[in-house]
Amino acid sequence: MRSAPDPRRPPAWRRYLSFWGADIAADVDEELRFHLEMRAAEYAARGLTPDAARSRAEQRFGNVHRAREACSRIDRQQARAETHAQMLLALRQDTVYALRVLRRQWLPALAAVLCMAVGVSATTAMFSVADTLLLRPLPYPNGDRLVAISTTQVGAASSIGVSSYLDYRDWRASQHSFDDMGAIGETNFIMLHGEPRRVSASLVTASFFPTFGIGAELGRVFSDADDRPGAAPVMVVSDAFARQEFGEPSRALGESIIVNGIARTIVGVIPDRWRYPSRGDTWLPIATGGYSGFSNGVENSSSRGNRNLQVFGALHRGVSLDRARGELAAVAARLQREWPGSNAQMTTSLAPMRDQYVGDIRGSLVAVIGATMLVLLIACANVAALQLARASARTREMAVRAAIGASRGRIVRQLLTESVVLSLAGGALGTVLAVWARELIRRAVAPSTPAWMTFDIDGRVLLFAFGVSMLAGVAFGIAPALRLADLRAGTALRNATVGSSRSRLQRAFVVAEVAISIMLVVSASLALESVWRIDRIPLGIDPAGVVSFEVTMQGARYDQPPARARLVDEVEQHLRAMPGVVAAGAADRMPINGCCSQFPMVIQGQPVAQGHEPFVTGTIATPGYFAALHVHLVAGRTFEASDDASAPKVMVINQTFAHKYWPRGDALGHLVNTGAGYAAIVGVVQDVKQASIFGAPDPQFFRPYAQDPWTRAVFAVRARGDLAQVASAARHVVRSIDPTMPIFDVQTLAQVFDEATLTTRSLSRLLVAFAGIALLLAATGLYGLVSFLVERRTRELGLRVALGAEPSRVARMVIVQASALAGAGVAVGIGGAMLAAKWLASTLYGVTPRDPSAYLLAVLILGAASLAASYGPARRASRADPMDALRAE
Amino acid sequence: MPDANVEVLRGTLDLLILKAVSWGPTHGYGVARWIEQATDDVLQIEEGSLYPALHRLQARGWIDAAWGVSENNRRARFYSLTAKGRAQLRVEAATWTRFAYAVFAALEAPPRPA
Repeated sequence: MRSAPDPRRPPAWRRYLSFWGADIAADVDEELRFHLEMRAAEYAARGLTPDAARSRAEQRFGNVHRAREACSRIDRQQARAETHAQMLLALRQDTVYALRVLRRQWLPALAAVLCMAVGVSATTAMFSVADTLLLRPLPYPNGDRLVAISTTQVGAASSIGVSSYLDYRDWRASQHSFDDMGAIGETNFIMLHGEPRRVSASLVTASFFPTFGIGAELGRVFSDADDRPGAAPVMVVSDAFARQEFGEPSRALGESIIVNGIARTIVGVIPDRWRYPSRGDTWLPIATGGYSGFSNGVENSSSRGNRNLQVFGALHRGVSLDRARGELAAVAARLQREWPGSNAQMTTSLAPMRDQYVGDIRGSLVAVIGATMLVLLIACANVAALQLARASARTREMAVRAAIGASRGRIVRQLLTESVVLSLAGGALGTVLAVWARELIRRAVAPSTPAWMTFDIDGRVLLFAFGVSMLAGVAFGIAPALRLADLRAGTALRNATVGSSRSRLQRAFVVAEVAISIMLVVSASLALESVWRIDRIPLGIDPAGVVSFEVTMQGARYDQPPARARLVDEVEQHLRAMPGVVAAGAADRMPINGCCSQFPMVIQGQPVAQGHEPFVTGTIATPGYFAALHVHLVAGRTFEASDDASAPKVMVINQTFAHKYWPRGDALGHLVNTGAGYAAIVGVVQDVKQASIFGAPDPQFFRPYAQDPWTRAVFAVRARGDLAQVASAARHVVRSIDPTMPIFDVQTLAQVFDEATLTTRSLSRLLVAFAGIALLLAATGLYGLVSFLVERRTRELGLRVALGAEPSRVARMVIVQASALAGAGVAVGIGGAMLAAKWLASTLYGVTPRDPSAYLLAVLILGAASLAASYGPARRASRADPMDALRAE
Repeated sequence: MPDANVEVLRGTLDLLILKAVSWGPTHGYGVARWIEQATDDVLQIEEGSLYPALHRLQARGWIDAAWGVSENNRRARFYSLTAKGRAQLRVEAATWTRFAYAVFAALEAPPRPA
């Protein structure tokens, strides 16, 4: 007989059952059942019947069900905790092992980390920019409901943008879709607080701040009582302004500042982040704005057509934008009928406020997103290829592990941990790089952004970077891991070549990289072409060597037009007298960047129905303007000193204007009325790009400054030599004539031109950088693959040489193989490149998507890169020693 | 049947279980029987709370559980004391004893002077 079974060890077959994992409920059941049976046996031994014993036992136990539930719960919790602990332990083991492995093969690991870092940094920087521009809410409390309301000419493609005060009042009174509406007009005032300074001020209605949800941090914002003609002059300032002028924001309250000759009391300070516009410093009620163009719009009903205010509204919650659109359009239609003189053909157009910042840049934003995605893909492909290459050294290790019992899942998990560790390291490095890359990307997407748009690397961005790294790690790690883990222990241990399927994968990666590279290279060269073309756009003027600055003539001294004309003339003469100055002139604004003053136009002899007069752009210019800017004269003459207030009214028009209305070329001498009486056309000049560099010029006329002296004048000084010195000399000149008149916006016209083209140039710089990275990565990938292929075939190549093949032929074979790969990549990628080109054409100026030169150039570049990449391996192949091959057999 | 039905508090139950198991591996029924015998049937433990207590103590790591075969050849879950449990038993026994002495002293104390 066998020895008595150990009371503690169940028989073998019982132990086998528990191999499948403990069934908690069943175990608890069995335990409690045992107890009840023992207790019943006890009672039975005392003489009860089995049934009675059983029920007595159950009775004595109490609530069996509750006990069972409690025990099951406790056991389940414990099982879960144990599983978690095991998982963590396995994870830690895997990570430690992964780090050891990576340290052993640190060179490819480092290469992978760098590739990953590049990809992640580009993507993270791009996300940070896109997040701020598109996702983050506007800083204003009502930001998500704010809508910009502008006046549009019916059928016009773009809106005029600004509206009149009387229109605004009518809209506000008749609408039901908005919580409130407010209007704002921007202007500059001279402020006297110590030194006379120009201050950017906004004239706002009392409803403006409530519409935005802006409240004062100190004091109060405007009330309706402040916004009435005759009310006590008050103002609201920003926190930054208060600090600058008074040190402490709290000291600003109640202080009085002389603005344009009127003493105003500061009644409120608002936080910097809520400023609108974001660089504004002061706000004044529109009704008490004092001497400015707006006083017309406030009271005089004939000035309904005087449009100079931006209007915003805060939508009621739950009201759709379309409903608001319909409502305001109906109001506009009514105004069209009631006021045909000013409102014929005028309707409203509404857009969410975010579009004001983002609308223009959608194109470049999508371009950058696409490019960064491509860079990330290339980086991942490169890392995957590196992983595969590393894997070749580990087939033996994996086979051994599998042979001694590691499950496939465990091996895959361990390899994935390696990939993830790599990608997280790369991601961390990439996030650091992203801080620097962010600026590069931001400038490419949105060069001029409002002050509150800070592109921080905050928690969300970090989370994104982490997520991308993890995803990339798993994505490029899974294929090699699965491949490696699938090895049959036998074949690997016998050292057969397992590389064929792996090299197929590597080939696919390299082809993909080349394809992506060609897309980026084509995009980059097209962007460069755009920049090149922009530099050659005929501007109509010569911006080189010209400095411009602006002055505002305000105050009682310049109330009378002759006084203003005299001042401008005096400044011009002094400027011309400066050393190095070739010419000097002035106008109400400079070309390229400034739109525009629009005037209704009537040609004598071509009557137009009232209210349907076309609008033309007008510039008020001195005679010196044309000389200073090198505006080319086509016919007749430009202004002369004799064209002053006492002389008959004259005007000069541009070619577009002349061709449009006098196609036979006889524009000179005709009389045109642009709101200041009929003026005779005395000259035709070449078109000047006034509103923007891109796009066709509009009809434009020039009016002599002396005949209509405005309060604003921008001087242009053409000089030889250092323009900075010219600028400061100009400052002295103005100060010597009128010390209380500040001069501002001092810049060279070349700077203005650069600013206007900043987006395109930044975008092209970014694309070139990305294309360079992509080329480098693709070339590296190609080099790695070709080296590997050569290595695999060393024996075969050595044999060939031994059998008489010339080394150069062998080398050529290698190069051909590499070129075939690159060619495949080009073929795959060319379609994508064409798509990218077509898309770029809609975003950038002057891009010709079907122009083959860009593609040819890209193919050449890639060809050169692939040649360079295969040179090394080809040489190695040609040096293959036949003795090595024979010896290895 | 005992004269007074003394309810056994939970903390005390844990202490008794640890003591019961300290003599060697026992199953749940064995623990119940030991408590009855050791206290001369004075303490009647509610068996419905005995088993959850056993599982709880096992989850805490004070006792170990393993399936084994009982004296009548049935499959039963045996509990044994761990090293941690032994230490815990010492501590709890000392605390409980002090508590008991304190209550006893209070019960025997003379009335407070007026």
